[in-house]
Amino acid sequence: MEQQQEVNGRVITITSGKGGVGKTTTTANLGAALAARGRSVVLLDADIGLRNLDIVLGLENRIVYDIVDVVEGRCRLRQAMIRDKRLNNLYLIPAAQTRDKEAVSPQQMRALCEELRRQFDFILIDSPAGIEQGFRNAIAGADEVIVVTNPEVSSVRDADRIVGLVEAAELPVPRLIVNRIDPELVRRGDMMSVEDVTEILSIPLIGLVPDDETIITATNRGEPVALDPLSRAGQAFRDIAARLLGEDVPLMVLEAPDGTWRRLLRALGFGGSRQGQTVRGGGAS
Amino acid sequence: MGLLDSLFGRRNAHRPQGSAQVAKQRLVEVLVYDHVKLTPDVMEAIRDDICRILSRHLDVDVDRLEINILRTERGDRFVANVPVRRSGTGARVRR
Repeated sequence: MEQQQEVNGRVITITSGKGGVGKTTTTANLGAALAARGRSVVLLDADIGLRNLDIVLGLENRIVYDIVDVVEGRCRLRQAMIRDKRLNNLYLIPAAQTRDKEAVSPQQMRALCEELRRQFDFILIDSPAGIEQGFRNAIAGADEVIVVTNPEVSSVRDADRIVGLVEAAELPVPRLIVNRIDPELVRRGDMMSVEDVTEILSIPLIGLVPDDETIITATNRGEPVALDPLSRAGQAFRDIAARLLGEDVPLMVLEAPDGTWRRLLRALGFGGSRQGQTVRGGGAS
Repeated sequence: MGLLDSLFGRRNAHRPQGSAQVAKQRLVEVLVYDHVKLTPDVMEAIRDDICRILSRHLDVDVDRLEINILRTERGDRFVANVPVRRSGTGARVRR
């Protein structure tokens, strides 16, 4: 908004199929991490009727207008943009809370994205769960799609369905975030690993996020965990943001809670060490 | 041994399969069928059709005929395994 020269921003939709896997948390944190890296970012909550991105970001008390007000012409675009409390180059366009998914059409979403990409480096769209109209709206104006999944059967199956729909919409192959990994369960063989999930979905991985209680405490406070330098999950989101910027960042190596023991054993030559493989950013702007 | 194993995370060496591998196998199977949008009854109908057509020319062992959709590195493949009885025409059948 400050910068008056036109930019050609990237529109990235964060989606998952299944609900509750961490779409909104991912959107909020990637937005915060990109903004902290100096990029101008607008977050668009496309989950009309189930507004949540505002409360995750701690901006719930500032809403006057929402996305439906914008597309129906009741306010100007910039009136519906809420500036973040912490980062002055991060904005939110909230979802309407009292309307349903049909209140916005794919054409209106495309037009809105076109307008936003002239003003921001990144437009991140938080998709609703499901594969119906709300999801179709959320990807209508997207250049790229990120699919969030958890390492469990139902969310991986739904993610696979989403991948098919994204390809059918003639968008590039989506990139994958595996969220809520419990290293201890993976170590015991009771949770699919990132490698398992990536192999099943056969799409490129852009990052993994450990299950981390700092997500819960940060969300309770309405603060993006990506701004907490000590949080592992925050680091994971910062890494993903860096990859979106085209940087090659090694995948986070997850340690089970008994990490000290394992490190000691490894140092003594037991239990193979796992080298972090590098994930290419690609698609840099 | 049990204590040492659990301390050093070697427990699953004794278990035939962790639940993660079960999850992975089940997913791979269900996704293949999700992709081709085939239900078990359609598969059964395909199997019957194959039996009928091949039986016109070959002495097919109908009970042992297997069809499957498998995930391979080069994409999903429909695979039929059709046993032929020796007493038939003598033709060699490849699957």
